Parts: sequence; structure tokens; C-alpha cells
Amino acid sequence: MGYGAYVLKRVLLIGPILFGVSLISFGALELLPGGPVEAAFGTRANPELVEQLREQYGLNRPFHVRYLDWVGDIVLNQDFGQTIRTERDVSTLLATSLPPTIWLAASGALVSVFIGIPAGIVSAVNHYEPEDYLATFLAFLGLSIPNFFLGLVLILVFSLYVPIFPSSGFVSPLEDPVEGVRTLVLPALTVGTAISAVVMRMMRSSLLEVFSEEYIRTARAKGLTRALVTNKHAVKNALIPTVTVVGLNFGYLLGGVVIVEQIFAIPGIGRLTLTAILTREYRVLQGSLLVIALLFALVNLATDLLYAYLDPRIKYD
Amino acid sequence: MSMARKTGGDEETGDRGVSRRTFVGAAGTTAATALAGCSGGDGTPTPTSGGGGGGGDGDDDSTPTADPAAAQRGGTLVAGMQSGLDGRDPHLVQAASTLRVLENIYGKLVEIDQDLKPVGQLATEWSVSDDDLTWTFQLREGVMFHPPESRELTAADVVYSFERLLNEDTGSPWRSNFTPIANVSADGDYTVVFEFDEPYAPFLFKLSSGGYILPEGADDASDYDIADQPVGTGPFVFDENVAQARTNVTAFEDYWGTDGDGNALPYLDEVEFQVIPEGQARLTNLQSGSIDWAVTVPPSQADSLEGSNSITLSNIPGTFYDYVGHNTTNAPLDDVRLRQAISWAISRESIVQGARFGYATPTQDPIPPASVWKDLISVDEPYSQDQARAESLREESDYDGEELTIQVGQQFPAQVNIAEIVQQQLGEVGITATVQPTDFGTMISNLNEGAYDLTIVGWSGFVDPDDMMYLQFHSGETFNQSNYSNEEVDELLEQGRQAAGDREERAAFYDDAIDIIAEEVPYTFLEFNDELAAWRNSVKNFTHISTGTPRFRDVWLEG
Repeated sequence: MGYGAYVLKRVLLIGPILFGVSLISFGALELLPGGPVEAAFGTRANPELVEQLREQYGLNRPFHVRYLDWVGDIVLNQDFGQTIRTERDVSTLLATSLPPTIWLAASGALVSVFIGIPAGIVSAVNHYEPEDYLATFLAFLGLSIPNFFLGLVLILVFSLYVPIFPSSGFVSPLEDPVEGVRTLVLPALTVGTAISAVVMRMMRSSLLEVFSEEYIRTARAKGLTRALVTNKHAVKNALIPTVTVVGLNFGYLLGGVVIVEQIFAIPGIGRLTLTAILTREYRVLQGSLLVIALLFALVNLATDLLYAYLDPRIKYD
Repeated sequence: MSMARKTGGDEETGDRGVSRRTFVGAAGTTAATALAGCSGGDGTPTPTSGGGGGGGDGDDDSTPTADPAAAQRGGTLVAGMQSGLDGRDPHLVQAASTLRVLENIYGKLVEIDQDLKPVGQLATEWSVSDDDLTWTFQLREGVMFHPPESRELTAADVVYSFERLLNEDTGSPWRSNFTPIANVSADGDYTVVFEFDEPYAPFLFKLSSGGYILPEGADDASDYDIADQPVGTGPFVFDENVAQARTNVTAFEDYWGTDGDGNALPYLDEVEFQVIPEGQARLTNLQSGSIDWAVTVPPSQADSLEGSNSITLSNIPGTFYDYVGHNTTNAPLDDVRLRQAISWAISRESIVQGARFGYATPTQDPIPPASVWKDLISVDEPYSQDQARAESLREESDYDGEELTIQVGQQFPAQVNIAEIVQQQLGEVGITATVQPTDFGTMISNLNEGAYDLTIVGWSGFVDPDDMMYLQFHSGETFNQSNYSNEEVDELLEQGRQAAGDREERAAFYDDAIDIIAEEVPYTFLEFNDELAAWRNSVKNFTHISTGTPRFRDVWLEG
């Protein structure tokens, strides 16, 4: 199978994946006890009002009718339906909460690359030396510090004690590049730190693996400097598996970093999903799950394609 | 910092006007001004100074004493909110966070003041017929609607708004507040008449919650969609909403209100309601100056603000209380002795400290501490923690060691905490219980279906005793999830609902009812939570009221 056919096959596979996700997210949520109407009106929900609203929103029709109705509207009109109580249009809600999350995920992934890859190289080059231990220690520290704690510490230090960065909100870098980047710094550091630890470990181990390969020995035997061997011959190859890790984590970040979005008041899809869970806004929840799944599948696909492109040895079957 | 509030001391200020069959709102005469608890001589409901406020005793230290002459104009106040706008139609919305925004955009006939008394807003005065069946409201003249309506409010708008609220198709959660209305009609441009089949004493309070006035024909307007674009009469005009992020409102040039010197309100150019869900982050933003005012300071964090010289922390008794709900129809809690045992087993003080960090007030009844009703309605034999008594009652009862579940909304950590304290204290007197954190929506269904033993839940009160007691303890009422039924209580609550006369006379019915309720324990009342807000000292003239609703109409920013 050629590269083109492989790409096509992977793209076509997204269809069944989304179908499965839509069925699960729609079904699981609809079957839960306690509906959106009860959640919306809390202790003040009386049975008549609940019944009336259920009817108004068509919640009392059979499952398959509601499912087909929902999917049909999404596929045909890109319409994710209406919410029970809020800002009514789910499509609009999804469209406004996606960009902040994409920016956050991308900048977080960038931070992880900028910290993780150099740290991984330093660590591998100085294998079992103090630099390696230090980098490993820092990586585990980064991995172990909970997001919410790091976020709050960063806010305290960089917004309150040394007020350089704003502590909350989101400004699109497309609209205002300076302010946009400033608001992204702290949240990106917060999400990037944990991932950079993973990236660092991956970079370290794959670089060590490459170092043990014969062509590196050959290069060294030719008398090339250590720096040249590392930079020119080893890193490039060691990057391949690292790219996958960054890609997967980017996809994971797109699912919304709920806690970070919450702390930094970023109006992203993670917070949207959380609020939807708490308020039982089924349409929002189903819509955001579907969109997250789609994004994850796309990022995954892009990563795999990139991987296959970078490493010509990979077979497509 | 807590507020020393005297209640029931307002006899002088004319609250007995009720018995004179004429209520006067916040307008016109000196007497009316005193009654409304406001000092603006021109009759605006603007609490511009401490004098005359707070029930007329003048010792209200939480009212910012500020001289309107010192007021500065302009600027944007940034308010930190817990959650984003949950809809824009005031008849459909019930989320507190959203109403806090809409309150600054929409007007209503009557609003609640600092003492939780109704005072006139769009109505200047009102009267009740001798048979208590007809209420006549005089509207303020010269009240303008926001663009694109940009016209004067008349009685027809009020009629339209109440017909809309009452229309089942509207689906308003506030509808039940107004169903006793038999007819609403306009008499000329500035008089609205409400007719009832039976006296409805809590009507004024009901008007203040949910009774927002929309322009006539709003639902059919061709140049705007009322569901997207609020068009009210309030001090601020809706400008923009970014979902989950912020809501911006700008000063309404034609707002009717003026300050004590006759200067136009509001002072601010703009208010930005910024959504910062996390409590600690809200406070950090306040400290760093990126917001000016913060709603709902988490009690666990409040201490960090005490003694700050740039930030004012205000804690006043709120209108939200927590209680243990007993399912009185299921064994073993159908045994009143077991319910009493539970009430004697619990230390309210330890809940105040353990779950609310001291920012709460223990209570024996559902009447908010700041309410003018508080001193009039009280339990004769209050509960306190008495483990010996609890144990002997438990032994007398039919309870034989079954495990009781305490259902609690899992997304409310403070209530889960309360449930755990209750569980432990019940254990100390030989009553076994398990805490069952449950999704709130699911839990509400369970409560409605009677599928529970005990529950820890709260009631965010409106302020009339009817709203605090009728719905919960009258037989067969929707919110009577304890399935409590007592004929005498029913009768007292009905009499209270109908006694549109003197406040003390009316309170007597509730005062009697609460003693029976305390004896029979459908609820074990725990504590009223403090209403905590904080603002930078540059925010001037903010009046913090128990309901937590911020009104920014007469607030200004210094500097």
C-alpha cells in the first residue's frame, strides 16, 4: 500500500470512530437519571414544570428518534441543537470555546517542546551524570506538581508579587498579539510543564537508543565531535518517537484542560464541558464530546502521517 | 467586620403603614423616604448614606457612608463572577449569577432593600383595598426603556410583563409566584391594578423576585430578539456577552434615577462582569487589581483578606441556609422521636466552624438573620447539642440500628462536609448513617420521589416567610419533600398567606407554625451562610445586601 492509500484509509476510518463516539455519548447521557430540567431548577423544580419543559424540548420522545434527529442536524446543518437554559445555540457555544482551548493546547505543547527536548538531550548526552539526575529530578517534579497548584503559584508570583502577566482571561493572539501572548504565558507554562516531563523522558530514552546504534558508532569512529554526532546524526532520528508523544499530548490537551481553564478563567471547551456536566446540558455535553473526539482523531491522524513521513522505514498496512 | 444589625426596630419608620392600608414606596414624601430606607431626598432608591438606612436606627456600619458630591463619574468597574450568563430573558432565568447581572439591566415594581423589606422601584406607591383583594400600584413617570424601544414605560408594559409571566407557554420558573393573580389591568398610563380571589400577603416580595418588567410586545418585536438582547429600564444597557468569559453593560443615558443632589445615575460608564469560576483565582485577580469587585468569596479564603488595606471584605448574614431534610413518611424516620434525636445530636456551631470556616450563623428556623421578620418568628424551645437527650430519644424510638443514608449534592463540597459532620455526630449517639454524595440533578429527582432518608441541602431564600415556610411545610406542596403534613400548620400557613395586614399580626401565624415544625422536625435547620463579597477600596458607595445581588447604579470608582 502506498502512502496515498494509507492516508485515505486513515481519513475514512474517522467516520466510524465518530459514529461510535456519537452513539456512546448520546446514549450514555440520555440514560442517566436526573435530567437537565431538574438540574436547572434545583430544589425549585416542580413536577409540572419539569414535564412541561421535557415536552417543550422533546425529551420525552423515543431514544432512536432523538438520536437520529440530533445526528441529522449536525451532519446536515452543522447544528448541534439548543441548550435547555443558557445562551441557546450549542454550535455557537462550541465555536466560541474552541479557539481558546486550541491556543492553550498549542502553546502548552510548544512549551513542552522547548523544555522537554533540550532537557532530554542534555540528559541523554550526560547519561548517569549529575546533569542527567538533575534533569530527571526536575522532570519528575514537573510531572508530580498538580496543575492547580502550579497554576496558583504562578499566578501568585507573576501576577501578584511581580505583576508581569495577567492572571486570568483570554485574548486571541490573532486580535491582539501582545496581550494575547501575555495572557497565554502562565496557563501555557502550567499545562506545558507536566507534558514537558513526558517529552523529556521520551527524548532521553530514544536518544540513548539511537546512541547505541551502529551508524552512531561509525560516526564517532570517524572522529566527529560529540556535539556534531549528537546534533547532526542522533537527534533527528530520536525526534521521531518524540513527535508522536507531543502529538498525542496535544490531542489530549484539546480535550480541554479543565482545571487550568478554570483557574485562569479561560473560556475553553474544558470548562464548557464541565459546566455542561454539572448542569446536565446534554446537547452541550454531547456536542463537545463529539468535537473533542473529532479533534483528537484529526491530531492523531496528523501525527501518524507525520511520523510515517519522517521515518521512511514505516510500512503501511 | 460583621454587621451589627438591629431588626424589628423600624416601627417608627412607618412599616405599620401596612395596617393603614397604604404602602408608600420610595418616593415623594419625607415619610416615604424614611420608609424606603434611603436618603435620596428626590426619592431615588439610592442608599447614598448610612443615615436613615438599615431600619432607621442609623447604626448600620456596612452601608458605605459617602457624599454624593464626592462621587466621580466614569470608568469601567470589573466585577468577578462565578459563572457566565445563563440566558438573557429575565422571566426564564433562575441562576443567581445571571440574575445578578440582569438586576442591573431590568427594572421591577418593587425591590428588596438592606433589611429585606420591599421598597418601590418602578412603582412609587401602592395601596390595598379593604378586602385585601385589589392592589393598586402607581408607576414612576418618565422611566425610559433601553434602545431600540427608547420610549417611556407605561402601565401597559407592566400588564404585558405579568401576562407573559403567567402564560404557561412562557415556561417561567417564576410563574408560581404569580398564579394567585386573577387579573392584571392598566388604569391609565401610570396605574396598574392587580386583582386576587383570595388575599395574597407575600405579593410585594414576590414582585421583587422574578417580576421584571419587559416592554410591551417584546416577544413579537421585529427589530430585536428579546431572548438575545435584553431591553429593560435599568441603569445599564446590555452591550455584549462572550459565553463563559464576560458580559459587558454600559451606562443608560436616560436612566430615571438620580443621586441625592439630583445628578444623573449611574456614575459608571461601564460594568464588565468577568467570569472567574475559581474562588482563589477571583481573589488573586482582586488583589492584583485586574478586577474591582468579587462575588461570593469562598469562606475558606476570606481570612486572607481580613486586614488588607487595599481590599474591603464584607460579610453579612445571607439568605441561604442549610438543613437536614428528613423523609417523614419512610421508616424509621417516620418516628418523630428519631427525628428529634437527630436534632439534639447535632452541634450547629461545629458545622459553622467545620464546614463554613466561621462564616455562618446557626439557626433554628428558616428566617434570614437580616430580615425584619427575624425577631418576630422564633422557636420557643430551640435545639442545641445534647447527646444524652438524643440518646434517650433514640432509645425510645422504633429505630433499631438500621443504616440511614444522607444524600448530598456531590458538587457542593461544603454540604458534603456538613453531611460528614452530621454523620459523625449521629454516630456518637448511636445512629448509623452513611454519606452518599450524589449528582445534584439525580438527588433532586430522588427527593421529589421520596427515595431518601436524610439529605443535606440548602434553600436560597427569598425573603418572605411565606416563601420560606409555605412551600416547604404545607401539605402536598411541591417543595415539601419531607412529605410533612400537619393540619394545624397548614391552617397557620394559609392564614399567614392571607393576612395582608400588620406585619406583627401576620408574623404571629408563622411564629406559632415554627414551634410545631420544630417539635415535629421535618427539617433540622442548621445555619445561614454569610454573604461574602470583596472589593477594592477604589470602589465607593457599594451597598452589600443579604441576597447578594449587586446593584451598581450608584457605585463609583475613585482615582
